[in-house]
Amino acid sequence: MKHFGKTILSVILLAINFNITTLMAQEINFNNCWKSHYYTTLLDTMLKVMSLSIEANYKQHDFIQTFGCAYEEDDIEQNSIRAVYRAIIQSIRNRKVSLRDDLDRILLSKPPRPDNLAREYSIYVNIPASPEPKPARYEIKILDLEAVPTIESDKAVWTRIVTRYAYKEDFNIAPVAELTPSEFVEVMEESQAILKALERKKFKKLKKVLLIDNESITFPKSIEELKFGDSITLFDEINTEKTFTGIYLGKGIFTSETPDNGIIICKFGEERLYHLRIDTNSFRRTSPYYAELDYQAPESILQCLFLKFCHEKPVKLPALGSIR
Amino acid sequence: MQRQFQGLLIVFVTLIASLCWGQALDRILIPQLENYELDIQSTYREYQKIYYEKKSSLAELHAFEDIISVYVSQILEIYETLSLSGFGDLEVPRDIAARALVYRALIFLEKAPLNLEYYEKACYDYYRALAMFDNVDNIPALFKRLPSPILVGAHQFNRLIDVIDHKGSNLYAFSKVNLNLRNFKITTNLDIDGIEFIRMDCSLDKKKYTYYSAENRIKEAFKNVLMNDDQSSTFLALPEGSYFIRPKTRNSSSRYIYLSAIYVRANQQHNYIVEPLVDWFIMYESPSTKKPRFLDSDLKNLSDVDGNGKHQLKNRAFNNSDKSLEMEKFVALSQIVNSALKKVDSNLIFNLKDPWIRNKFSNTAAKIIYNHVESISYYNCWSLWMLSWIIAKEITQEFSPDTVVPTELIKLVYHVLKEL
Repeated sequence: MKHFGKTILSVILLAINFNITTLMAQEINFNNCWKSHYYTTLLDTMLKVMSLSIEANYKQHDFIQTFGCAYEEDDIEQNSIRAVYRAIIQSIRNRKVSLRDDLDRILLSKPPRPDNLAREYSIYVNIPASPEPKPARYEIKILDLEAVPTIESDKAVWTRIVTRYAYKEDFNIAPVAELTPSEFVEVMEESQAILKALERKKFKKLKKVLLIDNESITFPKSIEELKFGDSITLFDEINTEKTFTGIYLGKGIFTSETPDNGIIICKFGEERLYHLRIDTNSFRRTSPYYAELDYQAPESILQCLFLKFCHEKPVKLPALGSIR
Repeated sequence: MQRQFQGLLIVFVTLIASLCWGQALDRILIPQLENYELDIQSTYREYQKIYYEKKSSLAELHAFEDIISVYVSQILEIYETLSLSGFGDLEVPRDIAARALVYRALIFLEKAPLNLEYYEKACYDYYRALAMFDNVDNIPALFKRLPSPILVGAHQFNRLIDVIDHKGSNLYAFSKVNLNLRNFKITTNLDIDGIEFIRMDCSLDKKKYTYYSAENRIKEAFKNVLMNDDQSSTFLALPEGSYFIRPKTRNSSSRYIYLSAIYVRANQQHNYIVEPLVDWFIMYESPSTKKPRFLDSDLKNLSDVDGNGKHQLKNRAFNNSDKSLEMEKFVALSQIVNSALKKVDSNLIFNLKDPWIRNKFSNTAAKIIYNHVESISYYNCWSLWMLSWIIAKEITQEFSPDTVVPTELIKLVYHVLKEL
C-alpha cells in the first residue's frame, strides 16, 4: 500500500514536472534563440551520440555505421522515418552506390518508431559496374532510435544504423566505403553557426559562409523551390536600379540589407514596408548542400529570429510615392 | 476484326453523343444565360429608378437585390455546369457570368452611401468577376463592348470598365487578398473559433470602409484545411491598412501578431500563403514582382547581381551612360510595340494606315509604356490588364483626345507588358 502511494506521488510529480517543462520550453528566449534551461540542441545530442563506435561484431562482418536525425515534423513517427532515411542515404553515399528501391515507400509501409520492433530492412542497391550496374541486396539494422526533446523540436528523433551488403561477393566488387557518420549533421553545424551569426545581424559573415558572391549553381524558379541559403535580389521601388541582397531562411522568412534600416529579418511581403520589392527572376543558389540534403532551418529558431526583431518594423506600408 | 469494329463503333457513338450533348448544351443554356443577363440589366435600370425616386423604400430596394441575386446565382450555376461538363469554348458564358457579378456589384455600389458595408459586398462580386480571367489570356469582359449599352443615371456606357471608372472609385479603396492555406495537418492544434481578425489603427477617411466578412471567411478556410488535411483557399476584400489575426487568449501586444500580419495597399492584389509555424502559423506574401527586361543584357546580368544598394547598371561591362541606355531600352520597347501591333487588329485602334502616323503612334505608345514601367505604379498595379487599361487611356488622351479608348489598344498594351 505504501509502495502504491509512493508510485502515485512520483507519477503526479513527474506529470507536474513534464507540464512545467513543456510550458517553459514554449517560452521563447529572445536573448539567445539557441539557449534553453531545459533542452539542449539536437546538434549537441548528435555530436555526443556520434562518438559511439561501431560494435566489434558488426565491424567484423563488413557493416558500416551511420547516423541520422530529424526535427522538421510535428510528429515522432514522421521524424523517425526522416531520421532513418537520412542515415540510410548517408550509408549509400558512403558506399558510392545508388538506390534501386523506393526507400520512402519501404519506410512508410513499415515505419520505424522508437516504440516498435521494426528494426531491420532489406533493400536493393546498384553497384557501379561495366557495362551495367549490378543489383545487390543491402541489409539495414537500426541499433538506436530515440525521441529526444531539443531546442529545435520537442519531437526530435535521432538514430544509429549499421548497413552492409547481404553477400560477400557484392562487397568484394563494390567501391571501398567511406566512413562519414553524417553529412547532415555537418550541414546542421554550419547552419547553426549561420543562424547564430544572423542573430547578431552579422550579414557579411552570412554572405561569406553561404558563398553568395560566387557564381550560381542553380536558379530556383519560384518561392516553392527556394531552400535555406538561397539568395534573392531586392530592388528599390522608387529607384529600381538600386539592388540589395537577401538570403532565404525558410517558411517565407528571409534576411536582407535595407536602404535605411540596416539588416532586417522579415517574412515575404514585409520588404514593402521599406519600399523594397523582390525580383522573382533573380533567385540564385550558390550553396547546393542544403538543397541536396533537404535541410530546413528549425521552425522554432526561425520563429524566434523573426519575433526577436519584429517590434523594430514599421506597422504599415509607406504611402505610394512618399520620399524617404 | 469484329471486335475492332465494335470498339471503333463505340468510340464513334461516344464522340457523336458528346458532340450532340455539347451542341444541346450550347443551344439550350447559352440563350438562357443571355435572357438572364437581359433580365439583370432591366432589373438594374428599375433599381436605379426606385433608388433615385423613392429613396425611403428600403424594403423595395432589398427585394430588387434579392431578385438580381437569384439571376446571378442561376447564371453562375449554368456557368459552373458548362465548365464542369467540358464544354469547349467558355468565352461567352464566362463573359456573361462576369458581367452578371459586376451588375450586382454596381447595384451594391448604388446603395452603399446609405449602408456602408455594401462597398465591401460590391468588392466581393467585383473580385469574383475579375478572378474568372486570372488564368486565361482572353481580354476580361470588363473591357469588352457590352451586348447592349447600359444607362447609368444620365450617361450611356458601352463597356463596364467605363461604368466602374465613372461610379466605382470606392472599389479602388479596397484590395484583394488571396489566402492559400497549406501544410496544415488534421492534428494541428489551433482553436479556430478563438481567433479574431483585427485592423491596426488607420486614418479616419479609410475607417468608413468595413471588413465584416473577412473574419468568417478566414475561419471557414481554416476549418476546411483542417478538415481536408490538405489545402484551402479564400480571398478577402480589405480596405487599405495593416491587419493581423490573434488568438483571443493572447493580448494584442504579443509579438505573435506579427506572424499573421497582412499589409494592404489600396487597389492591389496580394497573394498570401498561410502555413503552420511551431505552435501558431505564419502568413507571408507570395512575391510576384518581376523587373521588366527590355534588353538581352538585362537577362545576362541576372547572374551577377551586386547588392549593397549599388547601382547595378553602373557596374555593367559596357560603359553606356544612363541616357544612352535609356534610349537603348526605348528603342527595344518600340520594337516590341511594333511586333505587338501585328497580334491585334490595328485597324480598330486609330487610323494607322499612314506609315508616318503608325510610326508616331508606336513611339508615343512606347514612351508612355516606358514611363509607367519605370515608375513605382508598375509594381503596384492590380494586374497587367488593369495597368493596360490605365496606359491605354493615357495613350488615347495623347494620340486622339476625347475619343473612346479602343479595346484593341488595351490588348496591344497587354501584349507589350507581357513581353517584358
